[in-house]
Amino acid sequence: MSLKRIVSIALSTGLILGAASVSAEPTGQMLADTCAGCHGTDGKSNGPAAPSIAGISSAYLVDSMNQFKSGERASTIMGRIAKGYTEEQYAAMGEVFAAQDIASTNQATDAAKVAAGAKVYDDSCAKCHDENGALADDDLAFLQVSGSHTLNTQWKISRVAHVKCRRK
Amino acid sequence: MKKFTRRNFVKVVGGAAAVTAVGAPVFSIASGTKKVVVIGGGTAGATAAKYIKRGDSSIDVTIIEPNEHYHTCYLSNEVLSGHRTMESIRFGYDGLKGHGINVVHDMVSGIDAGAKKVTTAGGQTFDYDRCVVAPGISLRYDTIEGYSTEAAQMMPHAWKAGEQTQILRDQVHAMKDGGTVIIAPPPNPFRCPPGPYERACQIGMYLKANKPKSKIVILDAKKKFSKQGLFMQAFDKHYKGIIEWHSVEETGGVASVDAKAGTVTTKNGDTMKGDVVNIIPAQHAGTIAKTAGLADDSGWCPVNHGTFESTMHPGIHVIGDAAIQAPLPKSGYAANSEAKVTAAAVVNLLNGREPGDPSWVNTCYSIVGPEDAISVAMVYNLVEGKVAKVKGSGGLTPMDSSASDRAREVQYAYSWFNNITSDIFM
Repeated sequence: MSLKRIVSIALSTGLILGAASVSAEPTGQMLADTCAGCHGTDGKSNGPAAPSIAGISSAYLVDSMNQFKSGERASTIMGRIAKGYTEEQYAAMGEVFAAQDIASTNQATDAAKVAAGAKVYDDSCAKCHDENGALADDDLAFLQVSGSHTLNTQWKISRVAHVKCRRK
Repeated sequence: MKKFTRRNFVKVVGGAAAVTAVGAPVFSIASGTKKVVVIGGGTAGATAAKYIKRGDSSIDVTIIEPNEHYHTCYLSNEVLSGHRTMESIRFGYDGLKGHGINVVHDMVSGIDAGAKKVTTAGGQTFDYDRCVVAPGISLRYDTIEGYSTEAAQMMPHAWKAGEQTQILRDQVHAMKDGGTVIIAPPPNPFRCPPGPYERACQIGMYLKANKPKSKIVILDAKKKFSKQGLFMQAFDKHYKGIIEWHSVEETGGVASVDAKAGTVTTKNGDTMKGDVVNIIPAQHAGTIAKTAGLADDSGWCPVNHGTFESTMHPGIHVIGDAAIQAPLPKSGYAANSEAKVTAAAVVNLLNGREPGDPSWVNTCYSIVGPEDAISVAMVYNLVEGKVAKVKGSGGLTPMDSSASDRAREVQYAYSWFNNITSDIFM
């Protein structure tokens, strides 16, 4: 039985006297639920631009939030929001989203662009975002990219910081 | 993240107690099913119903709402410019029914906090263990002489979306080129603080493209307003010669209207004719909150910020625009966020647990021009029993943000709308 499960049972039984007076901060679920207004319920976004965060690794979320907070990763709004949390809170939220299934988006595609994009993916993206990038346990924290919103993917690629490949 | 879990685990249960907790899980022995009645099927109420059911599916959740459809106020300003249809802001309750929530279309007439009963105009009675009240706002027609529900058919407030939005849209679209639109924003506190100014921009967008000789005159009841620097920048950038804003210090604000004549008279005594007049009156908590004794002398409902439980009547939680939630704003995102905090508290309390520690977010976009949107965001926590802004977090779109970032904010605004409405109603 995982620790997470034990905590969940311990809390749900209500056996722990004075639990609330001891717990000094909101649960990961409480924190994660506040994201839904922009990223969708359980982090599954309906688009067109805000990315799904369901199923991303906790390491990726923590990494991203730290980069948004410091400004290393450019953003319109996430930097402002990232400044509202501690790294431990990022991790607590990250656990909740990591436990979700990856959300794949149904969207209209252009067959010719898909074919051209597939080649670009094989040449330039796959070495990091391999197995569709769906490596939740990858310590290097790469994002799952298949099924993500087209517009958001275009924006991410265009952000200069992304060019700095971390796996050679 | 594993480290966090372990740390939290130890902190919460302690070493030896963990063994007991794991070895003997005892679930709360309740006498019968717990019942929650949610009053009001808007942003706050519908979210609360959904998240209470999601938190504990054994709780019997009933939501009582007079209308079969809800029109969101957010993005209703795009209906005015013609960039969005009425259908796109209309939502029903099938999603909630699908989660096993009882949806009752009736008007609540009274709440008996002692007997824990809700009664309706339709003669129904509902018992509850905990009640969540989310009635939104009531409009104080009597604060402007000559204004009334009848006058609002000619001079729409359009501050509750739906029929009123349609009236204002039709008036703007029927207006002659060279006409004048008067917008009269209310005094604080009120629903959607940036709303009147986004409205000016959206109507301005339509007029600039279709009736460029027209004007929009904003007769404000305030000296300053939400996102003011960014809105003034947008007025200047996109609507020079079309939108003019007048502070209460210039005019005194609107004192009276003559709906048939189409005139507005300010407290300083000037009378102005408008081809379209949008009066947004001062506001209080929704009527049932006042009837049930949940509002104080301010006209709004005081609550314990940790749980949003009323300080007037225990067992009843008041959420959304009706509550006194500052520094949280009276916004859709805040209502959704308050509802989740309340849902967690209600589920925990009904299961004999402590309510838990809350966290809130507000994110609010205003679309001020073609490919131009601005936002404000903030993270909130509970400090000494009160909602507090997390220091260093949040803030506004920078005044000098790039055109491409402004264009992205439009797409994020649409994502916000798609995701929050799905989070509430689906």
